[in-house]
Amino acid sequence: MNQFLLGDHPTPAFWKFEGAEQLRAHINKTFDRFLMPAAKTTTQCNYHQLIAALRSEQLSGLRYAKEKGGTGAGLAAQAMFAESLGRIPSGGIGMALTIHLDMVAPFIDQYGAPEQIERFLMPALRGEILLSHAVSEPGAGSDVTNLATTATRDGSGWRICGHKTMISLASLADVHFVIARLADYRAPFNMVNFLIPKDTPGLRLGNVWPALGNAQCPVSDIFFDDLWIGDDCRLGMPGMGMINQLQQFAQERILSSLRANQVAYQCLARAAQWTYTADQQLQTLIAEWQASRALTYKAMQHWLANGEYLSLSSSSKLISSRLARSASLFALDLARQHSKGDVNSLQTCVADARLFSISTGSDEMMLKSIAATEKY
Amino acid sequence: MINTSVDLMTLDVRHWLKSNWPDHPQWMQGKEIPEKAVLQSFIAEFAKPSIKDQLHHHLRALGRTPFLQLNRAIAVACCAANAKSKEFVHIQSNQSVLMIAAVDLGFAEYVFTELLAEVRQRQTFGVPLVRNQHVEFTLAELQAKLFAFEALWELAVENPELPANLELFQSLGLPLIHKLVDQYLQFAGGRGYLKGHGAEFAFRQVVVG
Ligand SMILES: Cc1cc2nc3c(=O)[nH]c(=O)nc-3n(C[C@H](O)[C@H](O)[C@H](O)COP(=O)(O)OP(=O)(O)OC[C@H]3O[C@@H](n4cnc5c(N)ncnc54)[C@H](O)[C@@H]3O)c2cc1C
Repeated sequence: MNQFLLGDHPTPAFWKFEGAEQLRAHINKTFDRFLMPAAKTTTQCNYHQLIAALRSEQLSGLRYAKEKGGTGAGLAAQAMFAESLGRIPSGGIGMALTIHLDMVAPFIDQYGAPEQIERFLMPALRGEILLSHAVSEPGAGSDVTNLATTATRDGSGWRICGHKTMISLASLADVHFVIARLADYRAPFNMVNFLIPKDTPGLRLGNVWPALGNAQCPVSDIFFDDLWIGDDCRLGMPGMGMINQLQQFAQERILSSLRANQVAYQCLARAAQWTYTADQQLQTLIAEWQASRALTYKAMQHWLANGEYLSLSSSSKLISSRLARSASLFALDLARQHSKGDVNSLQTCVADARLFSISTGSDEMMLKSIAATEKY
Repeated sequence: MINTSVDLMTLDVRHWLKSNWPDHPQWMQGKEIPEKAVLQSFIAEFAKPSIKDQLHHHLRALGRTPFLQLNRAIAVACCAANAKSKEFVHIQSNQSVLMIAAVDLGFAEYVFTELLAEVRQRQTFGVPLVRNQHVEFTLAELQAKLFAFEALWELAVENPELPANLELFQSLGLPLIHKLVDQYLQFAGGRGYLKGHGAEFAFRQVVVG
């Protein structure tokens, strides 16, 4: 069974580049060395150190150009990194690195002025600063367009008032990516993005929320009490904040799906040792895993080719998130029934994997997005 | 009982349908029924020495018609023809799996299209059915699964050297088709239950045929 799971399966065209297999081996080896031990401890891991370690192995900036502090290996290489993150038995580490390297850093890369690249992106890839992504608010989770944090022009800068909630890494990050509403602008061109350093006067952190899982990626609220920030911390054009964000969400969903598929795979590979080959539920989950993977690769292929990928990305996020949930539950049930394996680590896996269906766009938001994109 | 043994060379689809579904002549009118010539062009494809990429896509297109059982029978006949063709022996079983999956994929696409048309056109409580979130979400869920099945099939077709696993395609394709047909019947309401409606015909073939 393991042979079938691990055996030959089609490699997508975008991973047929020269040196792809060596790169995968290097990523896995580096993760085994630095991320695996961090995943197995209960103390909060030090992301500055981890990212610096990845940097020393040329892995912290695969998708970024050399002149911006990356390695210039490209998006396909980054996708390999994202998939391998799913091997790490800590959803929190996977999510933290995704937020830092694949949610906020790409924004700076794409919309940042040269000074912002130097001030934020390059140190972020060296592990000198950690980034958080602050979008959600008490009244605006799924409905991101309804957010109430405001940005008002004030002299050479901006006044920010509002409250962001459930922000991963908020308590650890040095710089927060923040999206705010502009008063006199019309939706959807009424948002603006900022990079706000943690020690800016007027910024206040809430306590870390205890949570079901994702222990290595703590969440807290952030309050902006009439905070003033210079225009040099504005990221992208005023008005384009949400448009740019929605495009980035669609891309991040593909990378998140790669990770979710890999989480599912890890669970199925374990479960396969504890049941018989013809187990119907296992067979079905394997088939679903194959299909989910193929769908994610197709979405990735379209993204790389600058094609249409919105529906594919939402579908892929929906299917892979559900699969990560069902595969981890299946493995946990088997481990309990047969008193096999490490039940604790599978409990962690179930709790962590549950978040795929909630954060960065819930399952229901994926369904809404598919219906809207396909114009039902 | 439906006859699944088909000789492609002699098949007359209209006649075949008439003898298998004698009570459906009225509904069949105006439907796209594959002509004998189309089937013969499949066989011509087999005679070509190149790998049969196009054949897969033809079968998928053929699958986008209401006749799942017939189209599956045709795919099986294509597989049998394939088996006779020596130069494809090494990829033969792989190709057979993908041919049947092509027809299933096409049929799933056909049902989805009909289902979407139904819920867009049918009005209840003053709005099209699809404007209800339950209906919209059910369709989006099915479409996501359809995309996944399509992606898996495409990846397998693009990599003919690797083994394709029949159970794998069946354990995805058949439940998907069942679910699609079931929802088609459900969202078509009472009319869908009556003979003459595509939902009734699809359900009859897939679930109770
Ligand atoms: C551990 C954790 C980490 C997080 N990290 C971050 C972070 O780093 N940055 C950040 O910005 N946010 C973060 N979030 C917040 C997360 O993005 C939101 O929880 C998520 O977007 C859902 O929003 P909500 O919680 O307000 O739920 P709601 O939007 O209130 O939704 C509640 C439920 O209703 C469903 N629903 C909502 N609208 C509809 C509709 N129209 N039709 C049908 N169903 C609907 C939703 O799918 C959900 O199931 C995090 C959350 C958690 C739990």
